[in-house]
Amino acid sequence: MNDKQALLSVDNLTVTFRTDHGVVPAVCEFSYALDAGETLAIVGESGSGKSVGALALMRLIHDPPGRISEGSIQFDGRSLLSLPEGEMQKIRGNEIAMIFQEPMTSLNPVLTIAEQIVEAVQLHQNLTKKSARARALEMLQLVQISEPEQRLDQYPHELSGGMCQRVMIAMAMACTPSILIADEPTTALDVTIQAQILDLMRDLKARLGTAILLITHDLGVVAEMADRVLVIYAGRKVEEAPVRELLRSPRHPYTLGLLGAMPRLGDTSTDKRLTEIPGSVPSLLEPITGCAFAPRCTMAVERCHVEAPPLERHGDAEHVAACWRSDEVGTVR
Amino acid sequence: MSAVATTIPIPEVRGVLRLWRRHPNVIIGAAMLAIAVIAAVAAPWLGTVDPQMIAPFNRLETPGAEFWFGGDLVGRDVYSRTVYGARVSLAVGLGVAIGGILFGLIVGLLSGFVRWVDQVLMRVMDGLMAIPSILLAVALISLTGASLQNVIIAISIAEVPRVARLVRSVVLSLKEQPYVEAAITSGTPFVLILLRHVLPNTLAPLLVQGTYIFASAVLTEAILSFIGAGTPPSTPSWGNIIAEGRTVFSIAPHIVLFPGLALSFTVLGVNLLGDGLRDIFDPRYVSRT
Repeated sequence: MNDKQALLSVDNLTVTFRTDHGVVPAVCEFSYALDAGETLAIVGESGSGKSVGALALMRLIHDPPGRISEGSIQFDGRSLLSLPEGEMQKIRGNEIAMIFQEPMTSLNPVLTIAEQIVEAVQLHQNLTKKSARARALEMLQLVQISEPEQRLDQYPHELSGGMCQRVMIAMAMACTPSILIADEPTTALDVTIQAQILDLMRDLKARLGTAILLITHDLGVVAEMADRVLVIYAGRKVEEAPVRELLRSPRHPYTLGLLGAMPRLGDTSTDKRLTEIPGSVPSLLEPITGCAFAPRCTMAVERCHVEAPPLERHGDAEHVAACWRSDEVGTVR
Repeated sequence: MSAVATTIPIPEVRGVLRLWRRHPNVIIGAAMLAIAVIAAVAAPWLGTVDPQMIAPFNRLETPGAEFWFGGDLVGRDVYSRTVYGARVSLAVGLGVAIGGILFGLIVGLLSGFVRWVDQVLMRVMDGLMAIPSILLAVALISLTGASLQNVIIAISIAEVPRVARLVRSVVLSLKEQPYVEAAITSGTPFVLILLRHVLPNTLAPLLVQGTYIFASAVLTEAILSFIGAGTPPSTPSWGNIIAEGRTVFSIAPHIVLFPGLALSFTVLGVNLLGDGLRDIFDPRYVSRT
């Protein structure tokens, strides 16, 4: 899609899972590109395949039952899917790092904070214990944790959830990766801490030039963090656009539904109730004919149930959407 | 449960008093075990004589000022024999606990992580478990001959399946922990994940299990010695002292009584210690004070 060489480009990725009831395509013909220093948000509801897409990137799909059955992932001139496992290990944590939803349980309870960061640093950098510890302290200062010296020798249970997430970020950033995958990084935190963590991530991105792949279902987080947004539904990309463009004029009814379901601050019209999307994500066990969203879509016409819409470009911005009636979506709103 | 219950009690020197209040079992059990250990280590200096010295004049001597626990069938000092017997019991207990845990740990870690190995090893373990441990030990000793070392090996083999199952179950649940997955995503090699992230988290349940193995090994050794398949008669052990005293139980019960008491004392102490440790490590059991 992009003419210039992107830092990461995922092309036609398909990940399937074998279950007792058949083969489920969790992610289907999924393509996107991520430029250096950019934040791309992948938005979708539970079970839409957004986390699987990220794990595939790290080649951490458990096989069996999962399998990357198709597609290619190009990272920094290398094809990740054909690298030997040893090479992949050097990339994980070093060039592509990841933070998770549950900061409290993502740290090993029997190791101190220093031991865990030092381990992460020493895995990929040839440092002595002493300089790795100095690096750990430096990272804790960078993530603006209070009293970083004391934190070094504390155990995870002595820290709060927000502090644990800061430690996770410190660990992830310790090797200055070029991509940080953040899988719902703020979901388990309360709102004020969420804002602090998002601020921190933005700040680090600006300082270290790390590209962020943000996986979330929270459009509020997207609006604050992302440069571009990719909406995924039933394992397929349905819309992709720069964040302002997407929030202002969505071209897919699903995106419109997500936006409608989000409460707005300052909206005083009390009679206006939030809209919801009827139904739930379809089972991926049965092959989907037509548009996957059609059964839940208020705008669906006959064609939607029969023929799957291709991704099409809209306007001059890089806005693509897969909907037969995408030109009308903006007006219906 | 109050918030207090979630603090993990770490025994510090000044915290012994608090430990006593919360987990008196640990202190009592540790003290009982310490007494047995001291008896075993310091046996020659505890007013004992040569436990194998035969003195026909003292046959079946009743306990008194000169012979604290009396004399046995051939006039050997039962007190000295009982104190020296602690050596065998504790050596077997410790040896089996270490050996059983070490092999069980290897088997458990492997089967927890490698699927096809799991299938093979766990079926072997099931097979071992199906045989009563005493029968298994008797069979192994009859193959190898009675000696302290063979007793330890035989009982260890019988204990391996239990440890392996425990470790395997812990590993299976640890594997799903986010911090293990986090370690994988940060490019940690398999061996390091095993040693740094999984092994330390199995130690607490293993320590508890180790005390139970210790206690049951002490008992098993006594049983083996009692039926003559354990420690050879040249070394006094509680089991063979009791076995020798059994024939004259009706006229000289002290020969059976004192080693029996020592055996009960030690096993009770180790079990109390194990229960206490389990309470400490398992937050669900932490007292509500």
